[in-house]
Amino acid sequence: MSEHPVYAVVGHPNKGKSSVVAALTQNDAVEISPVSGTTHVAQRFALRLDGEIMLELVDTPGFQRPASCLEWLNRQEVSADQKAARVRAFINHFQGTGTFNDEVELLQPVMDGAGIIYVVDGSLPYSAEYEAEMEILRWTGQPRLAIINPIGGEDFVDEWASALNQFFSLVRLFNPLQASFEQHRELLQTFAQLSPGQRQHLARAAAALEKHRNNKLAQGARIVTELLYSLLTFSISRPLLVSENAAVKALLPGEVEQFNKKLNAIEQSHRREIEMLFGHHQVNSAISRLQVAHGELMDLEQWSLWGLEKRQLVLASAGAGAAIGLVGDAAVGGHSLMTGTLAGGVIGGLSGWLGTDRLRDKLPKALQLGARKHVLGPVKDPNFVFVVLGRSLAHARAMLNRSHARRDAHKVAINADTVVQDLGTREQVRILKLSRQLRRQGLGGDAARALERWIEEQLGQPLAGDAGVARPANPAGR
Amino acid sequence: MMGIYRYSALLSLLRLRLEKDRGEDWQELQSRDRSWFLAQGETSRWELVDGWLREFERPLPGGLALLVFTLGLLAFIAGFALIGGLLEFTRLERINLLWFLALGLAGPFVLWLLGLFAAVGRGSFPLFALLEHRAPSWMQNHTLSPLLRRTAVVLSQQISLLFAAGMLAAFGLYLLVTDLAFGWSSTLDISATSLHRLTAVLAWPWQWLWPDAVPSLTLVEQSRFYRAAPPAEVNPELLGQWWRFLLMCLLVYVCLPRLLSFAWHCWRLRKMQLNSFASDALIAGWWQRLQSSALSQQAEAVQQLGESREVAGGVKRLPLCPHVVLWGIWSDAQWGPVKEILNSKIPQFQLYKVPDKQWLARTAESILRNPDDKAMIVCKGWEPPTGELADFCRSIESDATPRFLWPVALTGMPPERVSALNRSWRAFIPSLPDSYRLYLGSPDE
Repeated sequence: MSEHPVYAVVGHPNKGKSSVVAALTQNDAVEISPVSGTTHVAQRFALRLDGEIMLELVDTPGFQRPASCLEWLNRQEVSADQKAARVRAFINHFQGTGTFNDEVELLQPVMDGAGIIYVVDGSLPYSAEYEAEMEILRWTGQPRLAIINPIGGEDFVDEWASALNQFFSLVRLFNPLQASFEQHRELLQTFAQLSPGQRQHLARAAAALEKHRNNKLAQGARIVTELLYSLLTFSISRPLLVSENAAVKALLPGEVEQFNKKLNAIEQSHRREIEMLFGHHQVNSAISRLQVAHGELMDLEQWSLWGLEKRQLVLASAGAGAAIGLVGDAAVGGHSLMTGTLAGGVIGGLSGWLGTDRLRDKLPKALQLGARKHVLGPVKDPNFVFVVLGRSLAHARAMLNRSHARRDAHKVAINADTVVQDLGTREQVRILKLSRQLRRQGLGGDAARALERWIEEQLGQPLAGDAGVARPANPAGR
Repeated sequence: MMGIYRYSALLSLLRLRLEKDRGEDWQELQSRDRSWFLAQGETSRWELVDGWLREFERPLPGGLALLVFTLGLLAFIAGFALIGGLLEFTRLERINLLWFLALGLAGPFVLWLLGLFAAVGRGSFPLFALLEHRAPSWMQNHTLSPLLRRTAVVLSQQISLLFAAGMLAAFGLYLLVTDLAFGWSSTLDISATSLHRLTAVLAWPWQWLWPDAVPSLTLVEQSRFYRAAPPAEVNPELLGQWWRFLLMCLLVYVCLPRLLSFAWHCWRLRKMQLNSFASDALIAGWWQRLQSSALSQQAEAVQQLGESREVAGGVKRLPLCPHVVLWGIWSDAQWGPVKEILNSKIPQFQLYKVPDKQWLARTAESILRNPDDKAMIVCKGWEPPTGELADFCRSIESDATPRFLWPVALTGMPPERVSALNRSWRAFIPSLPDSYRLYLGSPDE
């Protein structure tokens, strides 16, 4: 028997057993098929922490011939203490024969010591036919938990709960497609009730999962902050030729399109990183394109010489003139009453102002060390920060909360206004202020840390409409 | 000291390497990084970066230490040469104090001030702006560009400090091996009192500490000389007394500011380097992967059968079968509507209820008694087909007559769910003998 907890996920075919395994092991590589009977061989999925197995789930084939199996078991009258041995005898008898293949695959891990997680579909009516399966599981003598999986609704949950309580010590309602992290944790705690001897292992697994999640939240916040900074400061520039003066307007739509294309490429790359962070390899996010109009962009024509723009050049030449004047003042022992400095500064400044325009086209190319360029961006619209945050938070939260059991192409419903609407005015002002500081300070500044903390908080909040489904299916349940 | 530059280079290289991992699965990255980390034993953070890069990228290019050393040496030699040039004199000439103060003290001090302004101010500074404009585009858009800028600033401060050290070394050497005679001279009408005032201001920081290093008015007056005048008889020892003042000027106005700004920039750079492990998304993520236990999923490799072929369609109309088998246990609510349909569509039929296994053999026997009669099995369409049903189907198989399966949809179930459940039934039919047909109900039912 393994030292770590092992649970066999069993049940009728097509009741979401593989989905439960995928959700609990956070593994979207578990094969889940809408067609029943695709699982023919029991498959083990382990959750490891630094190589050590914390929890192992066995995805088993569904019962195919439970009535026949029970009939075989009942053929020989045995006392309660011999029932498990009878099940073992069943396995030994049919193993490798091709008969009762699914039942043998299903019962083998249970008889090897695995706890039982019996999965039923709470959206379909209960039927007494299931009792053969439940009776066989009772024969095994292993600790048993039943999970009502409301795949398509909760219409028959009560019916199921009443029946399951007759056969199982614990009954829980758990939707693997929608369960939040808290609900996963609660289910792990339920496992601990099922097998008290494994309580320590399960507590470690729960703690590791929680730490793992917190680490991912922190990393997600860093990625979103970096994306925000990249998009808020993004600009493109293009060298301008003298002959292009008249054509600038005509070239503008193309430049804006190029700007948007690059903006989307940056966002896409970060989005992929978020998907990989939360372990969704098969997600096909469909998010509307980020589109910025020309009116929302800074649009500047810059001219620089030796790396300095005109204003900086004027200041530099004024400073140089003043310094020369100061030398003159010093030479006459201060008798000039600083007029040299003043005059030098004014002359330097004026010559800088007037000279740069003349100089820029007349300097030989080798000496120019600068050029005229057309700069588009960054986005000047203050609401852009909320658009970016809205999109990236919606995506990141959807990925964080998306169950690994889901196999549908994921379309994240993005509403950039949602984040803004959910925020109070004071919070909005704070975010705007932080984003302005982020532009100035960069990612190493305090504003980036404050934004990261805020984003982490936002990510940690449950999604609206999150169904609280990891609860006892019946308060009176044993 | 080399470490600080190496750390910046390591961080840049690490960031570039991690850019390649952006689209990779986090879990796999963590398994890779964590298992590598656990094999390292106790080692420093920077050794980890270095080791990881050696393992997964490439070692830091060599020559960085040589470059820094060469630049430092050149700066030292330049500083030495500057003071050497200022102090070199012919036998009868004196060393011009004003030149020394202007080039040896004011020049470096002004450069230091400008450097300080550039580092503290937000505007671009010509030299840095030029460097930035000439930098490759990946470096300009690099999230670590503030760190690289700061590294360049530290390097420039170190070079300047070594330049100052070269000046100091040259001054000390000249003091030791020659008798320096300082004097001052000007064509303009600068009085000795003015110069004395200036020297007193300059010497203010050490006037209590080392009073001998503050030039007296007598010294200032007596060390004035006129180049065109015949050499005057002066006390040679007196002209050498300027050395204390000049030494302190070099220390306080050239070396000390550089030392302080160098230390400050080093401290800031060190802080930035360490902050990168928390602030840079990729580096912080990498560090987190090394430090946290790796949670990984492992799936046992098994070969499942995969999905069976699904039949495209089935019969469109309810088959008029004289034998109808009701498979499973049905509640009245479930059976009622089905019974109604059967009664309305099939004039006469024999119904076999198979609530459990003991009825199977008896039912099969009854049906097979009339092998040419069609038979239909009515099943719960909301439940998937099972092996037990397949066994029963095989037990009543007939080569002569078709058999039908009718998985009845649950009343009120959404059509898309019904359609999804029907896929299992479509896939089930090919596993049965060829005589079996699927009937999925018609819209009017």
